[in-house]
Amino acid sequence: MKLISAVIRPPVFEAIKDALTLFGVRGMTVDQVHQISQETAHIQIYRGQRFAVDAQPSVKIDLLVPDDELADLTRVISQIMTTGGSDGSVWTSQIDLVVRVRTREHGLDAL
Amino acid sequence: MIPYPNWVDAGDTAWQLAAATLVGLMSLPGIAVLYGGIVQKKWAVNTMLMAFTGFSLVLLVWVLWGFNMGFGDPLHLGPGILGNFVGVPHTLLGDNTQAQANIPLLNGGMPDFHFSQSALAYFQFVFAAITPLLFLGSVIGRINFKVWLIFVPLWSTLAYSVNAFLLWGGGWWAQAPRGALDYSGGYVIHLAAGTTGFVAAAVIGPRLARDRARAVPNNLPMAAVGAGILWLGWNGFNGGDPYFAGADAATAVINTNLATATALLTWLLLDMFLSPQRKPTFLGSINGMISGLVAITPAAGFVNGLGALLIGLIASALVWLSWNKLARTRLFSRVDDTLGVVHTHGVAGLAGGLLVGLLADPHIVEYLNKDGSTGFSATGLFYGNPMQLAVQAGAALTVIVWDALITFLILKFLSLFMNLRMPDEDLEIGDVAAHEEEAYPDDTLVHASQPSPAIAPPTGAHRVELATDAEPGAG
Repeated sequence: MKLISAVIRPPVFEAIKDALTLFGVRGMTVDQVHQISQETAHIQIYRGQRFAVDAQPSVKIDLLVPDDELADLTRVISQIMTTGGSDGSVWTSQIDLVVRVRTREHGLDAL
Repeated sequence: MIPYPNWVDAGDTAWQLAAATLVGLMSLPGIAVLYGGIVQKKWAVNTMLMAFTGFSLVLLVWVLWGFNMGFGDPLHLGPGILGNFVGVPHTLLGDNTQAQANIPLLNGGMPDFHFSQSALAYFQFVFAAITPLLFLGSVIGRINFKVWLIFVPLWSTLAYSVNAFLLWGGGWWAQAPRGALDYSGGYVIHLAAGTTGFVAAAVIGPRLARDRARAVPNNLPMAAVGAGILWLGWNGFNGGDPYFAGADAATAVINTNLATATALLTWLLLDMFLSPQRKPTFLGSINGMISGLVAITPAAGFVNGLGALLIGLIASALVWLSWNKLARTRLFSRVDDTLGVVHTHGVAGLAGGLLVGLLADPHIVEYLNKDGSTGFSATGLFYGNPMQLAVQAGAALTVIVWDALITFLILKFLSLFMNLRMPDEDLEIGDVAAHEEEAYPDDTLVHASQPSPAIAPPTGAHRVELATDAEPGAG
């Protein structure tokens, strides 16, 4: 089992979610996060004082997948991020154990 | 010395200034926080700033030329309606404002005013000011801020002044034998705002599809504050319009509240028993409340309590149908009226204006003769005057056609040399792109003055092609 993590700009989230659903993904975990990056730094002004904001509101997707789907799903996600003109990053990691608590399924059955 | 001339009545003056302030509070902060709370989080600042700037712009227009275009001497543009269409523009900046208030064409048609021209001008200003703030609700989420700053003064001059003159300044629709009724602005303000908002939304174009698909509010308690200020502020809106702190002012106030409570509950019950989700909703009941406030506005001091109750009931049901059914029709779903102003103000204002043609009760007296007999009251169809309904329909049509035309022409003109919409990339971001401010900034993620020093970008040696075009698993 693998974990795909992607930090994306909010506007492409909908398209990625729809595409993953199309590929048979039934669920995922989503967080609202901030990316710190030079490219997206901007200024906010309150009562005449300038504030630099280099934290970009972003969405983080965590997705548990069987090993043989890792490549396809990673490709889908990064492709949509690219065509959406978006930045962000995708990474994957090895997962040892998953338990689906409601059904007590373990491992691949729990995905 | 004496504090004021004999024609001043301290009570009437005090009530007029208090009523005007109540109406002003409906705009600031009322509309600002109601709309600011209902829109998406990313548009709250833009919405509130448009409300505050709209209010300011109208005041300048009003004292420089607008008030006299609405309430001054008639400008003779031609025969018939053209001779009594709009007033002669001139300023209020001189010392003439301490004189007794005066609407030239109404001299003799109503009692002499008991307050100064300043009190009249400020009272009428707050009505002129709230109207653009109402149709702001139709264009939120894409209108170019600079377009707003130009559109509001032009519209106030060319559309609002005409509405006000025709119905309140003694213009053509107010004159005998027509005598169109609009107690506090069902047509002049609300039908005008609904029409203008709808046409402006159509000309400017829709929000981003993504924004339309997820237009959730950002702060319902703030919307509750705004909505509550609107309701109670309406005591000044309708209670101030007899211009005297007398019995008809009190009638208008209680009628306003009665119609509003009825309308709120009507919408709530329709939501509970006829809507697809069968749930009572807060924002639904607020829509019902506004429908009632708007619909009683043209009628407040002309109908009796039963009339007010019926107006609240009928108008709320009509606007509910309009909101839930008419909005699904092709025309209405194609135009992106952000907050549905065409329903809650346009349809409600029209419904109220027509209902006063049915329900105006001649025993509800606005002004008395010196012997105590009825000096001025209105009579609707149910009390034997069928003509009133036809007159109400004619006045409504005039406001709809004129305001739609003026809105269309101003925006088409502005589109010749500026973009009516913000750029799409700014629409994605919202407030921060337009104003470098946001409604709920996060104090952990910002730091003063400059961004942190730049880090050298990656050289490329370590770049990884992560499965975009590379083979599965590459990298």
